[in-house]
Amino acid sequence: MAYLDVRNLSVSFPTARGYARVVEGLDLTLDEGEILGIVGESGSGKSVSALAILGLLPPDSRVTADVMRFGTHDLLALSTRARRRVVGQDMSIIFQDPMASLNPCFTVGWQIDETLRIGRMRGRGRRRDRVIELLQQVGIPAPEKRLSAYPHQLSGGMNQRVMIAMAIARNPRLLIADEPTTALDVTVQKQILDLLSKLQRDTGMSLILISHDLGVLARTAHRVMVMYAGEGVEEAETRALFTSPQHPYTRALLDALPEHAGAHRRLPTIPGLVPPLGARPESCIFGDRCRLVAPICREGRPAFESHGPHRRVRCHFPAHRLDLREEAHLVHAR
Amino acid sequence: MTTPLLSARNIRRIYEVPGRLFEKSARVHALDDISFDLRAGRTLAVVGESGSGKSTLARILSLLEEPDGGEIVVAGEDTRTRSQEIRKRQRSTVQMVFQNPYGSLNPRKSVGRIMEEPLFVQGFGPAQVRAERARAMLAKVGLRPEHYWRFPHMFSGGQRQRIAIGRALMLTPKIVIADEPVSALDISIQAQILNLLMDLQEEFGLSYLFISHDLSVVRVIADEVLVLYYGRLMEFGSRDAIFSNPRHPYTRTLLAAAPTISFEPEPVVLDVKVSEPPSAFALPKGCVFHPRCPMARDICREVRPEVRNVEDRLVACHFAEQRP
Repeated sequence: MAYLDVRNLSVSFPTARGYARVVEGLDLTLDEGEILGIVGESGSGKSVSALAILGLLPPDSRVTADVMRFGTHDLLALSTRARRRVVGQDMSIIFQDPMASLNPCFTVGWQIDETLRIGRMRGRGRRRDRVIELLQQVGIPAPEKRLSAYPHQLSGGMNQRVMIAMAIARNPRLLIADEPTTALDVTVQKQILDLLSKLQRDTGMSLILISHDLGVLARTAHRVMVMYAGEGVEEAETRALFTSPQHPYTRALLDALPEHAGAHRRLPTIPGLVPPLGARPESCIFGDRCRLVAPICREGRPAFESHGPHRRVRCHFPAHRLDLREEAHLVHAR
Repeated sequence: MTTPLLSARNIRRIYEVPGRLFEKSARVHALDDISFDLRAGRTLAVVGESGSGKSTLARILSLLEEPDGGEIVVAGEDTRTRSQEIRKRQRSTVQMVFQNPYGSLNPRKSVGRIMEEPLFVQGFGPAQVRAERARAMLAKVGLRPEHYWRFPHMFSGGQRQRIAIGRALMLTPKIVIADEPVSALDISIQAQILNLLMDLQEEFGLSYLFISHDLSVVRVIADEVLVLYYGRLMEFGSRDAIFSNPRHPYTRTLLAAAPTISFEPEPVVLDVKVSEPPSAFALPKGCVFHPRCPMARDICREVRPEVRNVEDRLVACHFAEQRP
């Protein structure tokens, strides 16, 4: 049984014209010790889904799900208080911009210590030892000296390491990293990704890695979920996803990467725009921009169907069944 | 070889950061002895991490800031001239596109007004001709005529970047300085804007100075690549030289660290030794890269490597001939 099991998650936010669906019918599962990557462009709902699992969305948002289970906890049935305890103890998150997440008025040592204090760890000396141990674990040199440093005295990469130290301070079973390296330089990015992989291996925790950058996930995640306009459109083991993408959106996204193009070659693009909030179709969400669109695509949302082990695709015509599309056209023509 | 459209010689820019009470002020060498040529119709990419001086270089070449030393010649004319007329001409020869299309367009002006602003400043006119030009440019950058009256908030990030590019081309410049023009955009939109930049380059024969931290983007658009690290030139050569056969350990580190979706085995994995880049106020003696360099030896800690010719490129490394 999956350690984290979320089924049919939907999130809506109030707007001037009523509630707008931001996430629609998302299924997420995660085993113990697994790294799940979530990739999508801006507005695809990847961060909102993570915040919904943690229960960190504003109170006026509407979150519904058929199942939301984490370990032995049924997150839907828990009271707000009890849920907060689970989130502090067993689930943790780090965000994109470490400078904005840390409090500039307190030393980093104090801020990591605060996490332990809230976790009711007794004894100032013991806590201090633990903070030093954590800083060592995240690869900060000379940790005793860094305890009294303020965030502005450290670089972006070092601050992100401090954030990671805070996030793992109470040995969480699940860590969500939301664009953890987007604000960092490439050489530092690689170090932070290596660090997250190492910590995941050493502690056996589960990790959800959210990124807009396919390259960031390719080397780190075990399994990847592709999101588009609030829906999961394809899920597969990392290598399978990148080497044989099935959903037309995944394929178009991979094709648009500059890394495939030759010098001065035009890149393939995706025509049209992401459907705006409040105007998302009931039919296939990608239909308006899809090369393969057929009449059946306009008749309701395709199911998130299983195509082999660990692979699900929300499309009537995944790449390995393009013959289906020929048939669909023939039927339609008749 | 034709004369370059823009040439920069020994550019130096030093920022002075005032010290607090009883403290000496600190100096940051944002650019230290940078020289290069930009030829007509070509794209020169400047790559480097934060603090490498990329954006300072963009501001200096856009004539928004003066260098503290060195000379810049634009289309045969030195930028240190006192002649207002020449300055004005140079300013219309060189135009800019910035990273964040949400910050670079005035929210209170219509798209038409934004596009006409450069013509206005240069005293180009009557109003009707300006409006016609703006409408023609909207079509060139892939927008529709009715967008003329709309305001920036009504557009997506990609469309805004199209407006910013259109504005930069209104004065028919020869050189466009683009500072991370696609970094804030989603992948599918990034591809559209890169295509647009390449199309416009062909149509108008533009030269680009393209600043980016993303090597995969640079690989598509650049003819030549200049690698900067803490304001110093590390390596400068053709796109192929830099990508297929990098000679500076820093260039190799950048290439190895770049995220990729390829599952081919990594060619050479170079580990950057010390995780922390140095402070810009206290740059290491000798080669600036030596504390992080896997190949560093005694000479690197003492002697700053000269920029020299090795094979087909310029490189500042004592061991540029050696393989790791």
